[in-house]
Amino acid sequence: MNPSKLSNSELGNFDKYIEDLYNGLLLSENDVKLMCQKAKEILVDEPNIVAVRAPLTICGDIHGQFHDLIELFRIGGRLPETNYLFLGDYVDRGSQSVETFSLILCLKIRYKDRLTVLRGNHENREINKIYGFYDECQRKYGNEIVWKHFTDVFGYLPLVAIVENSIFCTHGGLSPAIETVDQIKQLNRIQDIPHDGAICDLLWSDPEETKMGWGVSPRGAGWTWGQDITDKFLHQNKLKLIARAHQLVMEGFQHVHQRKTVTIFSAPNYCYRCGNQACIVEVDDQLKMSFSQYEPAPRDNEPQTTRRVPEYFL
Amino acid sequence: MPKIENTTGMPINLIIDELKSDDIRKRIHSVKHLDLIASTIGPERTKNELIPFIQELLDDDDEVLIELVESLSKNFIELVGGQVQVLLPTFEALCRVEDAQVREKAANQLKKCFTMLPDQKKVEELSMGIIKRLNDSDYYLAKNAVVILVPSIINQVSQNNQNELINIILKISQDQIPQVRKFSSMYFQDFVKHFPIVNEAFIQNTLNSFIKDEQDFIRMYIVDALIASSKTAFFQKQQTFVLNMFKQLAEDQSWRVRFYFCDKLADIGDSVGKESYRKNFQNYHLKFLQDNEPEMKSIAALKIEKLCSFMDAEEIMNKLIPLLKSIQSDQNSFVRNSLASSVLSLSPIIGKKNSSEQILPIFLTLLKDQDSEVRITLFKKLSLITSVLGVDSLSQSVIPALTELAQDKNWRIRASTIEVLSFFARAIGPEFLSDKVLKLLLDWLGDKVYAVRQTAIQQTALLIQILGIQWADKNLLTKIWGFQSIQNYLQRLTVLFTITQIASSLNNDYILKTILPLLQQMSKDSVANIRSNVCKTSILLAKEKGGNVVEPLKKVLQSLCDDQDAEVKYQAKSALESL
Repeated sequence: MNPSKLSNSELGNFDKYIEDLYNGLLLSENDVKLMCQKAKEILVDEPNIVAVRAPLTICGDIHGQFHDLIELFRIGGRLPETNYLFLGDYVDRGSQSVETFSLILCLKIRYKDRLTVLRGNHENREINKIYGFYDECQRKYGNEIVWKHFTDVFGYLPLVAIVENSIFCTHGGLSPAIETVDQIKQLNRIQDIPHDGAICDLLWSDPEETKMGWGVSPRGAGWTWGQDITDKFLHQNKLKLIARAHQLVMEGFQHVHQRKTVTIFSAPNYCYRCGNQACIVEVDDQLKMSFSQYEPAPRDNEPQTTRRVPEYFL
Repeated sequence: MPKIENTTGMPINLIIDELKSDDIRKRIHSVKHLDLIASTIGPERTKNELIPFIQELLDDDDEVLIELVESLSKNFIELVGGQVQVLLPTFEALCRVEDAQVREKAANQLKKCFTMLPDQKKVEELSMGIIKRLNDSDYYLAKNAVVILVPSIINQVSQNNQNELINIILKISQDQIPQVRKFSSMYFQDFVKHFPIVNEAFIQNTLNSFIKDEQDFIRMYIVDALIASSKTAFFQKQQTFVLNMFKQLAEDQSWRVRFYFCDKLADIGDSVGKESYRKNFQNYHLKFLQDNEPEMKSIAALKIEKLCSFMDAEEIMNKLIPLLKSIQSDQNSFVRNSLASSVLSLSPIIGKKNSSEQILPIFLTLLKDQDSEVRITLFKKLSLITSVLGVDSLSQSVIPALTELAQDKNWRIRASTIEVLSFFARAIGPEFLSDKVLKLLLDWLGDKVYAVRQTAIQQTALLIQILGIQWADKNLLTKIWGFQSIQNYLQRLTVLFTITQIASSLNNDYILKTILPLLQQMSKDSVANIRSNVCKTSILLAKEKGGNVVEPLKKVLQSLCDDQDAEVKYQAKSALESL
């Protein structure tokens, strides 16, 4: 039996799903159901904190920008040759959340040891009913069944990854309820994201650049935390760096807290208007980090910027 | 009689049922496989049941109809047992739909059917009937098919019918609705081929009415009709008329008409002959290069490649080249791009000295163009000037330009530049791949972006095919194998990807001597992804090459069967099992 625990014919199926998805095709409703089932089987075995080996490439928010996810793979290489860690927020805002999350799930199922997939604050029923994922599923499948299959999987996604016992990776950031990493292990993650508490904070908090201590978050969930909190947390848990996503940064990445916290964002020209670069971070086996910035992929159906003789029709 | 295999994975009955499905995707799928259905149920049932059923589909969405006409165009004449007549009503109905693509395909299928009907009288009877019905239809777009069908049968029908058809075309050319007049203008080129059945007066009168039309998209197509007429005896009789009308089109106030004229200028030159072109039309080309509309300058620049064969060296030097100086600095990059694609074709005509004095400066300016696309277009035509001026004189300027492009911030530019290497290798040979250029290739193989590295690997494989494995081994491969000790695992993978890509060029001795030690070394790599790819490469080589490499490669795979990584272990084991 191969490590992905798929039978030979299932392997073939998932290879076909992946090929179709790379080409931007949608899976059928039945295939989505099967895929979500398999995903849950794999993810349920993963702990809240996944221990990850270097070398690997860390990626931030994707938000349904499927063409830019494909661009990301052009920059960083494909699975299974390149190892990846995604920090969440696969859906909402962009127009192809379905394709994005389907591809990532299929890749996880097929290459589970090469890909780590964390949960973002948008991997939650309440929020993605409003910010686009639910509507997209309705539009593309004609019912809400597919959305239900997907959202059932979200709870199974782990919350934190730690690379080589050194880099603490999560979607949002730190929580006043969490002083040690062990406390995260005790949480029950298979639920909708609560409105407060540790799980909520991990997925919603933001680093505060100048002020110290804990602050009220303008988002209405999670907190802001200052450099002193970072220093204390890293020291207490024998870690070197916090890597997180969750916030738009114009250069695709941003160091704060004297380079002890880094934000990574992988959706270029966010919402098709913010004009930001995206970034992925290659971490080598010595934990040296190399930042690769990129722009949105050219879209095939974009109007040509030069005038050409148009087709004349009445 | 084609017997079509069912590769859909679905039973035929289900495919047939889904022709009526509510889900448009399923209907399209079934329509795509109409030939399979027809082949399975046989010609009799196809004729009697399937074809009538298809009539009901004609109200369907355009998406389905596009598939339908495609499907019916495949081999349905055979599938109805050669009984072409059975298909005519369906195609006739498809000539009445909104989608232009479907109408045109259906009309062309009707043309094909007419040629396959054995009985000439039948052809006349059926085709006249179809044409008249489409012409009289309430739906004005049906006249699209009429202008396509009339030229295909007019020479096969009686005198009376010919007159009737000519009358139909006349009315269409004078129709109130511009789009209908456009149909007749577009296809008039097919009609004039039948001179003298279609007589002189008729051609002249119709063209005169087209040229006075207020719609430029109707005047535009006169160019095609005139070109077609010049291949008939009409041209001998009415040369002045044709030439004058060409001139009117060249001076038309609408740039779209002038554009269309310029686009076809080489064909016009071929039709009227070199002498006549030089006397009457050469000046227009030169004028277009100074036109106010950037689209005009662009098309004029683009056509230099084809039109320069009508000019002699003197004229090119004195009249054409002075105009190019302003084009090379035009503010629109697509204009400069057009110039880049055609200016070098002047070189072989004007010779070495003149190229060096006149073309080389333009070339060097475009080489530094701020728009990378312009530079790449130039590179693709480089062989035209190197054949005249020699490689050495140019390598001094080309290599810095290549180097700059190779470091462009945009990875797509870097990737396209790499593709230029094989152009040179083919045109010029290994001399072009000097140390400097090889260094560029190695930089590309080590690029930060995966897609650039992949393009570089593919180019390496191409270069080896063009220049041979000996050249590659001496100059390139050893350096690539050196990547195995790069710290970044993604760069080390390049070694294995390269071996896979060039496998067909490698012989077993080389594999045993050089590749095998590499694989053995990399099978002990600390990163599992590397060891995984060692498995992939080993099995590929073993299967493709066979012979004395199989056993040593098996040993490599065996050493990975106890790997600590589950994926590597599984790959090694299944690879061995498959051998």
